[in-house]
Amino acid sequence: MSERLHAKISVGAPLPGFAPRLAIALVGGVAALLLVPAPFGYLGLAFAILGALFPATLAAWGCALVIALTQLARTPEPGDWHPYATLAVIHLLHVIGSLSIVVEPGGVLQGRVLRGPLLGWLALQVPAQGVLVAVLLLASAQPIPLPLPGVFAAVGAVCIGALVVLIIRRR
Amino acid sequence: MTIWRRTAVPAAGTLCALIVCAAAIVFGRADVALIGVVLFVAVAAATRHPATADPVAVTLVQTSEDELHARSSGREPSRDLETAEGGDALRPTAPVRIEVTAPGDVGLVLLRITTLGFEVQQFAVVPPAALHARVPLAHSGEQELLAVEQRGVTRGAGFVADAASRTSHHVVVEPELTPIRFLPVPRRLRGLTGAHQSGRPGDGGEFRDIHPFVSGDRLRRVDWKATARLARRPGDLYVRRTNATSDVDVAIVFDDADEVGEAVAEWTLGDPTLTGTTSMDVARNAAWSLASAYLDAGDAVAFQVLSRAGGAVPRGSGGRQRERLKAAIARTAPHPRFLTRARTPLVAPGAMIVLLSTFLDGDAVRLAALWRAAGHRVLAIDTLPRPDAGALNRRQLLALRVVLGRRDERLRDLLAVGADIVAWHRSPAERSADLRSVSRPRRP
Repeated sequence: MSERLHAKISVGAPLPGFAPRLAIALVGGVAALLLVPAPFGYLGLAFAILGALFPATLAAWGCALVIALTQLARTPEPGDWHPYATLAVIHLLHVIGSLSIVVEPGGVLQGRVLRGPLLGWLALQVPAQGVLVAVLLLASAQPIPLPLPGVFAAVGAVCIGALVVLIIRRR
Repeated sequence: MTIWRRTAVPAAGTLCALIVCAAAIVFGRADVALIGVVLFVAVAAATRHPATADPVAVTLVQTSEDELHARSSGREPSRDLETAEGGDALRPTAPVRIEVTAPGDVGLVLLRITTLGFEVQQFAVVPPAALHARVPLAHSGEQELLAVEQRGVTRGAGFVADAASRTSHHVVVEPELTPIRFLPVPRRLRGLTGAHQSGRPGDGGEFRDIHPFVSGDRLRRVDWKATARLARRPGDLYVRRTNATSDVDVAIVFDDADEVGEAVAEWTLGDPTLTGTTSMDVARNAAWSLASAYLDAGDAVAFQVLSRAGGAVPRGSGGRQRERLKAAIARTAPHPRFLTRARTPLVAPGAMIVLLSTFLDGDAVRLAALWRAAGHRVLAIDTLPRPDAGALNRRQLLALRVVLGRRDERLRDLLAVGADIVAWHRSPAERSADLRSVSRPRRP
């Protein structure tokens, strides 16, 4: 039986196509175990694994949601590392989750593919972490009285407006 | 025109951000709300619809043609060689550069690269990008070396191009040329000049006989020793006669009905990366080698394919005919043929017929019998490569034995009608011995 002949195709700094999925499993799983108390941590881990195996299920965002909502159980402290890590991890899960949806796991990924999204992540994280420090400092100094119904209505209106804009753009 | 489809990324990010923001507002947590805001910003950046409808462009450039020509000239390719994976022999490769360009909105291009029609590899690259492919040249003839399907993805993976466009790169790999020392010729040659010994008296050939001088004989042909020995009365003269030389009309008939490789397990699928040497490779090499040898001898060579009228080359000789034949033989591809539509190629009267076939069906034998009945000499070139029965189960082995058994019967039928058979897949020495054997002059 003849051996199969293979064509060799070289692409600069290749990465396996399953790298984004592996990153979801690693980042999401480790973050779920470190940031989320049991038993909800296992739920986050399950979401991370599901998102890595089947990105079309959007389970990566489920994992992000679990990690984000866990932050509600903690008291906001400027000296606590959890809020900063939570903010970074959730944004990172969104970035690599986006990549894993479009990249085939059996293919090859050019190393430069990760550069753009990670730079974008960094560009957004630097100011966001700064704002988070300020918010945590303010929140720890004195509780910020939020007029709950009014703020809820305002944010809701912004979200609905954003959705309308998105729908109009799509058409 | 590219149509862009939205992916699930914006919806998933927006939903996640909404839930987080809602929970943050309900619990009065500004730090959690910030997470939702960051997600919103990230989604908004990914949701920007591409402003342009320009497609992603892929250009395929063959960087060197040395390897293609090296095969036909018989020399070792000078560079760009690699050891074929899983094999020991050095195999020529064709280097191809794949250049990818895209409009500015496109952050990622998904490539699906098919090599030799079967092997598929997928890549995700950032435009502009250049990939370098080295495709092993497994076979001769016209072939699709590389085909690329590309889809653009916007920054943030918010949109993906709907339909993948396809770009392909075709090459024609010339067949190998094997030097041939012995050429079979028809029993009776009709040409007036050429390089082959003819049966009629004339000039240029070898000694024929001693003959009494007749009107028209040249005086310089008088053999005085023979005259002194044989003359019975004064005035008797004897001349040395020689044979005339003649050219040959050769019709190369190519049976293009099927293409089977060494690996019998691949006869149904025909994956060119697994088949090994195929019958078409063998037939192209044999046709080109024989055509070249006959042309070198000054003969007129015609080329015909059995399944269709296209691709035929009328008989001729010389350098231009050589180029025409080379191109026609290199471009010959397998073509399905229905038994009832097998046409009988027209050949010149008294032409030597070189019939190249695997003899896996009876058409070629039927035609050989017709030609033999019309007085042509038929040289049948068996182009079936040595079958490799590896990976066959018992039933398949039994089927192979039946197929090869019926083929042997056809080859016996060919011998019975007076055709000569040369198996081209044998070693060069054995092949040369076979050609020498069939080239030897025989009594009709």
